[in-house]
Amino acid sequence: MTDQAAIPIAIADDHAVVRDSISNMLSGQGRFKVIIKAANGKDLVARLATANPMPEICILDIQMPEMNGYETMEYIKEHWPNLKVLALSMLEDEFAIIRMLKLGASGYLSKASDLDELQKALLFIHERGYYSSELIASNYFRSIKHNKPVAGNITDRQMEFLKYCCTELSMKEIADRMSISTSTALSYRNALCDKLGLTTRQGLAIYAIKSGIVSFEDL
Amino acid sequence: MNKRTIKIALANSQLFIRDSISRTLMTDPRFEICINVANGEELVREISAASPHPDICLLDVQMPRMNGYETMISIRDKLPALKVIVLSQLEDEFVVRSMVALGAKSYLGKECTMGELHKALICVYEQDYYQTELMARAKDKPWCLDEQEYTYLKYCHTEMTATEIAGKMNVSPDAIKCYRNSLFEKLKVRTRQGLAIFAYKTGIIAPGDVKQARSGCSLSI
Repeated sequence: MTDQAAIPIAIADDHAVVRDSISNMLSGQGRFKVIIKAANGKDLVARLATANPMPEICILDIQMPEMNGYETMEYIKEHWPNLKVLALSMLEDEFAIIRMLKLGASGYLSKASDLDELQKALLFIHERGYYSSELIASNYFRSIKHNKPVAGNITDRQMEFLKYCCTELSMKEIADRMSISTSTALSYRNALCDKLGLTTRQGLAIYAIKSGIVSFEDL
Repeated sequence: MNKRTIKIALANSQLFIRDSISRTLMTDPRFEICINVANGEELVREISAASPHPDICLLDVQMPRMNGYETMISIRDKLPALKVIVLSQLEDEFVVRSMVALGAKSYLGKECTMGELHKALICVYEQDYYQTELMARAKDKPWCLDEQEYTYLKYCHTEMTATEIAGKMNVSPDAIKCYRNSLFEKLKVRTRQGLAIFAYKTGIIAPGDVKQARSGCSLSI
């Protein structure tokens, strides 16, 4: 396999050990070549803007500082609709999986997988344009069955509200930060509780953390 | 020159990270991964049964069942000769300070490359210590929590009342109030939600510890 034939890959993951090992493993095989290594979404899109050649597939983590995986995914689809994305995250919940796929990811891989599985997923995406797995199928099935595709129904403002739920700010203070009235803030809270089947603000906060809407650095 | 292989125990909740580290270290004959587990409980059990014991343990903080703090306490009490290097995505000063105070020989964060990990392993093996920037930054943070406070923090994210937590911890409800107030003061927070968030942020609670019900099905992370 000559170097020209290697499929160019970008990685965005805030863990250097992960970036290094993916890059080492892939370059050892010859089929893929990592041309961009970024520590967060912001870093990634800055490099994509000047990339030559463009990567064919981007491996994207969700819980990252500066610009998380959801925000990055939206940005990528808007600016480079042909760039294929494989989400790679420690999150395994319905929200994360369904939301990334709805935003346009070509596949979703949990960090409970190993490097062989990653390579398989990349090959699949290269050859067929998508990668499916038991994890994806079961979550998709569940979200259809409950007829509550939660991930798609949360607006950007509600996402922002969820981030504020993970603070000690009062409803009044959250409303002020978001330049809305307290009653609008309360309506966000009620709508989200309703959609997510939760009852308290603490429940919303936990949901926001466990679905990667809020990263550890944001807390 | 010491040619003996360095025996390493790996404890990290993410298989992807364990696989990444073990594949890279395996290419160097000086290293041998003898234990490879997903949480502190398995780690302590496997090390106690291993002969000979590993030289160095590469430990994560956010682990379900038995987190990094509890694991450090257990290692300190049962396996004092084991050298621990923490490798974690958490870079909060509280975490770094606490793990070093509990006996960690080095603390490596997200920016640690494979090259630096390699260097840290050799350095801790030969010189017992590997200083990092994160450790230098956290050095003067004075506050550390006691074991009861760590345990109480593990319950704060649940819907349990203070009396229920007291029951679980076998202490009086007054003692719980006392932990709470002391934590409020130490951590500069004012609500139980603030304590729950702190517990997340610092890996006292791992994502895998939290179950949240939705639409009748239990979602765990």
